[in-house]
Amino acid sequence: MTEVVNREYVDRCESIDTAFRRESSAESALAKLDWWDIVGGGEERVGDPASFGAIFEMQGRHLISSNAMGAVSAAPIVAAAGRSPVPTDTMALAGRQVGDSIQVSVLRASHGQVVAMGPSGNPVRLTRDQLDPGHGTAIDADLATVFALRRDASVDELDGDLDLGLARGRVAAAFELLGVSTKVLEDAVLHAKERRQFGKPIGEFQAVRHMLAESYVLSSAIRDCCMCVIEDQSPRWPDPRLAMQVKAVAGRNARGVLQRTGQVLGAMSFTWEHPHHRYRRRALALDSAFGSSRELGREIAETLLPDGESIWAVGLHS
Amino acid sequence: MDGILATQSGEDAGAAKDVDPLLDVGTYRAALAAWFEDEARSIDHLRVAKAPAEETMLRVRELQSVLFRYGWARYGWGPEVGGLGGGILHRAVMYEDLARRGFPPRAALEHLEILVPVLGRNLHKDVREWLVPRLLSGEALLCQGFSEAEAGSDLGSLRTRAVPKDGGFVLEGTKLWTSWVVWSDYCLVLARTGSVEERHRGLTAFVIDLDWPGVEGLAIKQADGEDELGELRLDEAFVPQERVLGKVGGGWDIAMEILAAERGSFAWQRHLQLLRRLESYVEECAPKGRLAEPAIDLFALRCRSARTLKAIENGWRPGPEAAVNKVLLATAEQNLLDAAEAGAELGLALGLGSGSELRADYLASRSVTVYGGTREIQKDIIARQVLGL
Repeated sequence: MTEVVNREYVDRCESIDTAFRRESSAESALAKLDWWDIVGGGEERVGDPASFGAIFEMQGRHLISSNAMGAVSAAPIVAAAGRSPVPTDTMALAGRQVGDSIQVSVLRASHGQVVAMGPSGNPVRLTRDQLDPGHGTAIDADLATVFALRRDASVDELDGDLDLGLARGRVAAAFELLGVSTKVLEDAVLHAKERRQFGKPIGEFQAVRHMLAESYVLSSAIRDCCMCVIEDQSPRWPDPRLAMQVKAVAGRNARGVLQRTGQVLGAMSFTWEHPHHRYRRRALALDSAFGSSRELGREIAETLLPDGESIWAVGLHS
Repeated sequence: MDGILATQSGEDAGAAKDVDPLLDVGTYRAALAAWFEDEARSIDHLRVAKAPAEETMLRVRELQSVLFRYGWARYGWGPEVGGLGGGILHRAVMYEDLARRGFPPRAALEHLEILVPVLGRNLHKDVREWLVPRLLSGEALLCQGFSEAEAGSDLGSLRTRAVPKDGGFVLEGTKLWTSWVVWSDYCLVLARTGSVEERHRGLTAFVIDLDWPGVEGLAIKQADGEDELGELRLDEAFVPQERVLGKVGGGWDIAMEILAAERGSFAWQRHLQLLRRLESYVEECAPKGRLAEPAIDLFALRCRSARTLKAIENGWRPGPEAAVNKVLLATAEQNLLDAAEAGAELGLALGLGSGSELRADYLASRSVTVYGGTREIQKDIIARQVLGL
């Protein structure tokens, strides 16, 4: 659809899409793809950023839940702390203080140890039995569960920096949001061509056409930002400044796309008659993961803007 | 560093066969940056932000002539228009370096990016060879006369007529909202050679001199105080045959190519100025939190534009997809100026002190969803030609 096609990336998407379709579970598809090698584990440089992105776009597109996003985020943190990352580690997508306990949301499919932002601001490593399942609440059947960290838990503080892990998680979430946005737009365009009211397809009404055109602009912008990350040549991939901005664009624009495409789908968009509601909940959860577009917007304004170089960081050379 | 052209002209015949290292974009970037450092003092007076149009025009032309003389402004263009080779990325690198060093918007020269590729492909060789180098050197300016009072978004309904006569055509009609017409030497005019019923199929593009008999450019005062826009009156103006751009009746294709370039590659030049403003607003007016949204918009626009330029470098020609760039650009510019306006409050509203420049920029930004095809036209293009609705 877009003119600036990254052929390599499109090819990766196709093979990953095929793997997800053929295998019976996300885990077996990812295993077939040797995903842990693709995402570089805890290495500073990811060997194949195009495949890294494609895995997550396809997960978003097909609403697939795996532990991949949590694992790519946790791995650099665990590695920086001098330990060996494993594919079952995961990074809490978000955490918040409730009374004297911490609530963390964790990917549903993860089984291993959880890295979260601890009370002191340093990353901490938790085991699943330290998380109180009694308080577990599914925030999104497709994605994550919220757990409360037991009050009596003694946490294992990690001496690693969060930057690279957060950057990887943000990029993964941005690609999932790209998959979500692309899919809901395709669905809505199809619907606008088929659904007839007042004797003609609703896609002939300018109000509807413009909402879909706006959605296309918003989702194209996510794609362009995501492709710029793939092309980023930073020795520690991805550049955290870049990841922060890409995630902010992806979260904000995906919300915009869902708002408009939901409107085009009409009443069924907020019922279980149509899968749209699942994409909407997925996008909300993804936007909140590793910093929402609003939080990141504030962070960009406070930290990136005063540093003139950051504004120009991505460009023709990257 | 003044030997760039000297080495190009190749006094040594053996050296001429070597590949010019500056054709590599990275090498060009580094050499240009080094040159700027060396020449900083001699061109510093051209780094003035806001000035009356006449002064601005002199400065941008002087800067262009210096850049041309040293060869920098000749890279990115082919030999058919007097260039030294290389592609759009060379041009983009030069625009970025200029913007980051605080040189003001290039005003009428911004149109080179849009018009020169079309001239290179379609202008009669005899005219092209002397005319286009004059444009690239800043010696002469070219504007573009498309819109009319009854033909804005509906360009295909334009009424300016071109009637064949004595080895040429006679033009009759009035163009409106013609950017830089009073400052320009030439104009690319779109006129009707066919019947009204033929609509866009009966159009032809011409390049005319603005000092020819029967040709008159008049300024239109704008809300922001500038007189960039103008009116072009054509009263039985004779145009010789060799000034037809492309084929008679092929004007619509030329116009579409120009508009796609205006929507696609132009966004790169424009976004550089917006990034400069974003930097200055961080210090001057808006509280930082307010700049979060425009900063995100501009980041997305920059990613989009960079990728578009790379695609053009690889042979892609902007088409309907360029409407996305245009919508992103217009949205980013208006959101940025909205944030600045909200932060500046009274100074801007009354045009006081430093608020006067900001107010002018704010008012000018209201036009970005109109010029070059309105936002609504862009959305129609996306809906119909990209989404297939």
